[in-house]
Amino acid sequence: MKKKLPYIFFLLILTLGNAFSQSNDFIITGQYENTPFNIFFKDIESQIPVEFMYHPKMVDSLFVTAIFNKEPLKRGLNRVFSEVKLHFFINDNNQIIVTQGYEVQADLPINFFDRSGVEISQTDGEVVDFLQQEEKKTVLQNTLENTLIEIGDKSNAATGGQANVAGHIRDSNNGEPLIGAMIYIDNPRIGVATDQFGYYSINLPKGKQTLLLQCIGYKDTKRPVIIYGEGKLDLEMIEDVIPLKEVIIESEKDINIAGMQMGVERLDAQSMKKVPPVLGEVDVLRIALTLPGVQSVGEGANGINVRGGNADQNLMLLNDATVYNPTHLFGFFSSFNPDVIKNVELHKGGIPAEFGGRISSVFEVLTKEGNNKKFVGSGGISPVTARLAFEGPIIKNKASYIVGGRSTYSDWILKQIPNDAVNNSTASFYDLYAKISYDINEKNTIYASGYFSHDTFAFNSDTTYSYTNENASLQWKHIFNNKLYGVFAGVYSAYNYDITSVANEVNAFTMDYSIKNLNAKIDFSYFPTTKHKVDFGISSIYYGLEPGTLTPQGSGSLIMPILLQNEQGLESAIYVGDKYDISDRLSIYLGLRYSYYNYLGPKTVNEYAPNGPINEDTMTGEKLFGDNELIKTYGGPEIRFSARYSLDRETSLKMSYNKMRQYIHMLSNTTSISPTDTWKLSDTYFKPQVGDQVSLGIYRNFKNNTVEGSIEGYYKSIDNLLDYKSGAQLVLNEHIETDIIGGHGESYGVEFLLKKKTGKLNGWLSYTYSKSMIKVDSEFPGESINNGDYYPTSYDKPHAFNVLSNWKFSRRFSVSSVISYSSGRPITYPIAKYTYNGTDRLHYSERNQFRIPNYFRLDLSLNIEGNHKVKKLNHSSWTFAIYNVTGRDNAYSVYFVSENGEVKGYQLSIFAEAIPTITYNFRF
Amino acid sequence: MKFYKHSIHLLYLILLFSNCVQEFDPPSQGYENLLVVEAFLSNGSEPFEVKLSRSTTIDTSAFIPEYGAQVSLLDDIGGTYNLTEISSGIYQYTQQLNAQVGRSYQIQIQTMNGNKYESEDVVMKKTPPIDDLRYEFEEKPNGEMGVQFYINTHDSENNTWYYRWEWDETWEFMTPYDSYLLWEDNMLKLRDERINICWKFGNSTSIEISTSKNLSSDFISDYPLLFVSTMTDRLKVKYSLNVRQYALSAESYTFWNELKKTTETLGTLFDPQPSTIKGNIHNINNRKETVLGYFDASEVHEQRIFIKSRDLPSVQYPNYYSYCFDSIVSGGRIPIMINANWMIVTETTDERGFPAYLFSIPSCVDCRVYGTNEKPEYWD
Repeated sequence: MKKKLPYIFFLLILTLGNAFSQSNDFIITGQYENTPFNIFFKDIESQIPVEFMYHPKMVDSLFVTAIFNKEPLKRGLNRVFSEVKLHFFINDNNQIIVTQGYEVQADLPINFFDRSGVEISQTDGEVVDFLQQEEKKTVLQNTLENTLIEIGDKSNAATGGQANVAGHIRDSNNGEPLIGAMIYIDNPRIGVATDQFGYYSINLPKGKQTLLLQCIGYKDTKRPVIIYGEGKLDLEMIEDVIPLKEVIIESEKDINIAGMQMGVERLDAQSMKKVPPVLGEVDVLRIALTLPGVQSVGEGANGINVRGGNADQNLMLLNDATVYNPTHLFGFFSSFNPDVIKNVELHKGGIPAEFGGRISSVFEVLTKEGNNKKFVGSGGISPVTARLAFEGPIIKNKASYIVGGRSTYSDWILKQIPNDAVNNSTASFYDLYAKISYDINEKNTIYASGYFSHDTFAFNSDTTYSYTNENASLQWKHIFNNKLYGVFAGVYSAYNYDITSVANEVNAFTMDYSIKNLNAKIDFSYFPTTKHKVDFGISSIYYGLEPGTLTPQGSGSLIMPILLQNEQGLESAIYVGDKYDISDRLSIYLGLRYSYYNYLGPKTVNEYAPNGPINEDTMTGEKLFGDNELIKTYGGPEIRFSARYSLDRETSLKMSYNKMRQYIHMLSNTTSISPTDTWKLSDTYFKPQVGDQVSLGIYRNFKNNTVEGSIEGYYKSIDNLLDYKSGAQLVLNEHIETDIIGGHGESYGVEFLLKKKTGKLNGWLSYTYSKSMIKVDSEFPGESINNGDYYPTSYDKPHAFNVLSNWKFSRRFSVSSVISYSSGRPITYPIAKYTYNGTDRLHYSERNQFRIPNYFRLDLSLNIEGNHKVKKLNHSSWTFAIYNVTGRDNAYSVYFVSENGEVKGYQLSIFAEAIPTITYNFRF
Repeated sequence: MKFYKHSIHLLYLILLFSNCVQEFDPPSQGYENLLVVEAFLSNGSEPFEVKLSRSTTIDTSAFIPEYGAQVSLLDDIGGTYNLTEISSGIYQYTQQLNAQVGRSYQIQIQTMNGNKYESEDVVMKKTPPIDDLRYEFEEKPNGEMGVQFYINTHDSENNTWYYRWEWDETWEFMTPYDSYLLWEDNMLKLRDERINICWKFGNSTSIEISTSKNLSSDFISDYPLLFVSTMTDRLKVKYSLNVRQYALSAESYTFWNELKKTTETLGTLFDPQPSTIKGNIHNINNRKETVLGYFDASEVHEQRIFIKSRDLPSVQYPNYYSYCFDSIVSGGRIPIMINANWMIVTETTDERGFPAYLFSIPSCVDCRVYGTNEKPEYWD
């Protein structure tokens, strides 16, 4: 790469000092009488080495009448253009870009690394109608699409061989990097997608090319380039705020066909906002639940079940940091503030080698970097919560921040309920998120982010539950050269909860639990040729757990303190993955990850009689391990493979296989994640869960690629899937291994998805048929469940059907809806009744042999945008939503209680009525 | 554990919020016909009794006794005690049985169809006495007032750890009319007993267990046994509670605890799943057959407590007799009234001053409609 003249291109090629002075020196001479502009331009081009860039339509009815006598170019053009309301801009290649209705300015001098492109100048105080604004964007786009960009050292011949072009693709408005934007040329077909930093690296044939860009939510665009050699090209795309027309012809929206990935769902902030909110909040997890293969055990259940996997088998990441409890208020809200989220990626299958540690899925939440151009903010108020986020530049175009927070007034709502116990209770949560991004120079970027969430629930003022998530991450991205960059990250995650009860002096206690991890990792992305993209890296996670302490409260308490021994573990991994485009039609990804886990002392480990069952009766003694002594080690290779074969431009076949290992497990014998669930490291008795998944899919686009369809099937096998003995005691258990049994899990399913991303009516429709089973078989009595046969897991829901649609019937009004139907989840049902101790009792079936009634829900929302005055102080919108419109009382569970000697059946529903909410959202 | 209970409260609250619990009639699915054995051996004065029955479908409420079985109790020194069926499904050892702490026992059952069952050997546990059975007049968070009974006990040898209680209650009540006359053989007679003061009885149906296992010493402090609300008339005159305390083994505590968890405390978001409860009785020839019940043996200690209404703050008790009314009729009309199932209360005069009789309906006169007028021997 030539150091002396690195090219940084953005929306337009920026002006460099020397080039600019050149164009200042041009002198023009000539006499024109009603000369068409295009002839005038040609004439000037013949006089001096400049090139006019313009849209022919713009000038087809305009004529020049002027005399120039050795006049400087700029002054002359100004004179002519001002009469016809045209503007121009001269770049460092002496190209004169002609625009209409607005000016293109290059603020000079421009910092070499400056990433601002062209700015649209607006007269202060002027009220510009939205339409006009859109028109401007279109015009600007047209201009850009006709501006030839030169890349590389001109002294190289622009023919023969290939050259690497790399850079970032960003949002033109706020400088946010775009994830998953496609950049490609058509002939020969070469293309890549941007990664999570909006970075791409592509090898292109030298010479003149048309770069095509597309990204969901952005206008498709193209850039003519002439490639002389290796170079940098940063590009910006214009947000497709409101599709003015039914999108003309988006013949190239075929990312899902050409893309490698399968089993991945990507949700951007924009599409999330179209989904009807619950209790006034847009919720990422709830949207994820409308996707095929993603389910939950019910409303208020926290966590998701992906492809028949348990809720603890999802790697929930917020900027690389693990989030252990992804919900607030016992599962009614997710922990992620929608205002700071840029993008959510859910990998259900074909999981790349860079991820590991959980066997079902990776749920990756990526946050915005913050607007590096101007200060903006957004927020919302609903009857239950309020949220506020703002972002802006610290150093314009170089450093930016974003800060967001949420809180609830549900406490206030509790106070409105005329019941003493409720009145004396308090419930509250809040979360805070902050991130700073700093482009130190073109090669180095630093990101620092922190997240804190806290929930408190005090029942009747004498028992308090609280839990906290804490995350921090520091990432340094270094671009070694066009083809190689690395991200060095240090990440901290922690989760803790405590319960304090002072209701009875003798039994007053506090119980604490905490888990924290420190993760150091280095990830490299290497683009050796356009046909290969190689990722490799290493990672090491240190876990420290305080699995539980019980402490007496007050001098009168007789509670015997319990202090479970702390646990330590180290999970390390090294991986490499290569995506190889073998031909236009076939590409494969092969990844290998080797993970290695150490369970470390100090710890006293219970020992049991060998070759026998593990229970209190077979305990033979203890073994003491010293500080950092290896207690148990597990590890093994994890193969990740996927392949894509295109049958034609609109159809492709994909398959994938992946093996995953999981060394940390959540213990919960309740049906949902509850605040008292604990995480447990693999140890001598808890073997790592190992998952193997194969999936096969066919993808086809219809109607000029505006409708995407896919069918994916998968089969998954899980070793050491945990289940619990009857009546297992999971909290403060000093020999927890006696209450847990490992089983073999098996799940399979077929997922259908039809998606329309553009147009006035958009949305998706999904249907999934799936089964999720577990078998717990042991030679020892009491250690088998259901006689060692396969039985459904408590999250097995064979049929799931979801429709999410959004209809924008005018510029300001849109209606969206969610229809959700699924089979009832399995329960253990009473099969007989008997009298014991004077009361009717129930005898229950074997585990999970029956089901609760099927689930159905319809949500509707109406979104009203404020008017589109650009200079209005804030842009606001109102969302009126009704959750569960039909008021159907979907059973969360059914249960049976002996009351006064009689057995009564009850059905518990979380939202048994239609719940209307109003949310006011604003941006400023 | 304590916090477990609170998570239940928590859910009540969330449920209150959304008002979303509905009663429904569960349909019967996958019915299994199983033998149910209720057998508890104590050293108390009551005879040893074994109750055998069959399970029913969940939508029926019949009690199906298992009759015609042979039931016997065996001890570890070769003694065999055969029980006789005193009523359908109820088998009793009718003689004196001196069960002793520390000795181990087993029951054996042969049903009419020839199936043989036996229990594990169970050692009779020693039980410490109740230290204190006390009460407080309390107002519950929902505004309900009443008497909350608490139990305190300890084992200074730190050897019991698991406890179970049963209680029975007795209360006195009165009808508004005190009748001393009786129409018998077509003539008026004086009653030889009072029928306006009666006693009613109740006994525990819920499982009351606790453990001190999480404490440093074997103490049970203020276990909340029973709440008697002033919304009933139990406390209106005089009330008595008798509590029996039993020690449990760790295994029998597990059984009772699971039985309680699966049948009494389900229904919150965070509840564990219910499951089959394993007892300690099995079919000798078919270990896989599920037998419901647990044979246990323990020493018993009892304590009784009385509460008079004047011991409590004065509160308004419900008047169950507000519907009562009377009628004054002349002597000649007595047979008509008796035929119409009225009861004579007393002699009186009508509005003109002639002798007449005051009548009322039986439920307002005769307390035996609801209870017994035989004074319990422990009543003073």
